[in-house]
Amino acid sequence: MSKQIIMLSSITYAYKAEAWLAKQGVKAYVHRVPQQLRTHGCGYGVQVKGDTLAAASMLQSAGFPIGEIIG
Amino acid sequence: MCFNLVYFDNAATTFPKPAAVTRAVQQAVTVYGGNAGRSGHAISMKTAQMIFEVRRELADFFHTDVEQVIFTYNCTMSLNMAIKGVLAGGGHAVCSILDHNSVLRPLHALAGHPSHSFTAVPVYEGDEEATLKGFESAIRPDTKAIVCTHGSNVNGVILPIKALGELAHRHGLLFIVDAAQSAGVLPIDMDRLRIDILCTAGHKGLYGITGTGLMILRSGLTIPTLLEGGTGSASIRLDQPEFLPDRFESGTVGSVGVASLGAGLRFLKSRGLQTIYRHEMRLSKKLWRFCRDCSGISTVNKTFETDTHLPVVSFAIEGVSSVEAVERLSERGFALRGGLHCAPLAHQMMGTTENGLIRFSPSAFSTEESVDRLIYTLSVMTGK
Repeated sequence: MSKQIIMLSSITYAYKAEAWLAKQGVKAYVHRVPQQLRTHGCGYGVQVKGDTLAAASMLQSAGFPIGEIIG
Repeated sequence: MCFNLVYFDNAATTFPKPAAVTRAVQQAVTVYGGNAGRSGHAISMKTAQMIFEVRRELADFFHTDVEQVIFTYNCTMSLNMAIKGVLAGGGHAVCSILDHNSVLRPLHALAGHPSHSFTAVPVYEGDEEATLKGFESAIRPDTKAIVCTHGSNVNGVILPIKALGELAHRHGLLFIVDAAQSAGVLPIDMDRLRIDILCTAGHKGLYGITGTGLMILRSGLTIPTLLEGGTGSASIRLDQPEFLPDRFESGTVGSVGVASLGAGLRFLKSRGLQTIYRHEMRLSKKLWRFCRDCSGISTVNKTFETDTHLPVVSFAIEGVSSVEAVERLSERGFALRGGLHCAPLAHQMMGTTENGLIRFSPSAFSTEESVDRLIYTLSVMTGK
């Protein structure tokens, strides 16, 4: 699994993204962003099993408010 | 049942709760004990996931997106957030005389400022056209919103919500609905009914525990906040987040209540909304017919029909105040509510302010046998 995390604006969006990606056949897991990687304070994102950039692109196309990809 | 009372005060809060709700509360305390959205450890994440799942189920139930569902602590809190948010910059609102104080008092408090005002219009039982005309004629150039109950907690009259939603949007107004009495009893599709903000309690027809409420905003709508604080997101900024649900969920979310709400919702879905509504209406109609035909009792409803009424029957016993009557009923093993039910304008309209009314409101767990016993007891009390 990639160590990169696709940031989302909130934990609700992170779980929504996880569920949405699962429906698209992409496994992802919600993670709290490690302290050293935070730029806006507390935050959550999804860690993808597979191509992180492709998953981020899919999320963006579906209207998810994704932030940066960290890690 | 607790205290050997037959409980008919479900419009105030449902009791008993389904066994699954009790189990969910216990599980929430013992398993989902973390603070959701604040940490990354397993207990916090497990709690957050449970909250997300319940949020998602509620979003499906009310036909909206998951992030639009905001957990509050009761319907009054939701209505205050909605009303004061929408009218933050001043303006006029139209509500109905059947509204609860959870609508009337925030509007009245705002009306203490010169830039705010509101008009409460009549609701004509059995004449939706007249009701709609009343709402439309109250709209002014500075009107910002129509705020009203889906159905009365006193006489059970259901307002023409779909037509009111269309009316509001035709005039460019926001439509705020108080679904405290209808959520879990009637199907509510926010899109179809053109509802911009839906407010409801979680502890009534949705069968969650007390201390639960919901405010659900239409997608794309944003309003000023009433409360600000920690959300576990974008913490470096002092500004309240713009995104939902965080914008309106400052402070720790009541995960125990949320878990109970999830179990309550699953109970509703397993029984079926229509089945529950028809069951409660059958019991209510039986009592209403008795009240209508008993010479010592008067009821406030001219008719009492499925699809136009909620399962709430209010009545008066000749020569006895409602508060005294419910005390006597309590002594005889029945829990009903007397008084004004926090709906002063409704009682003014019905001429029942002085003595109030006795309110009967069944639940999915009420039985016909218990209604028969109540009818027998009322017959004895009135000597009829």
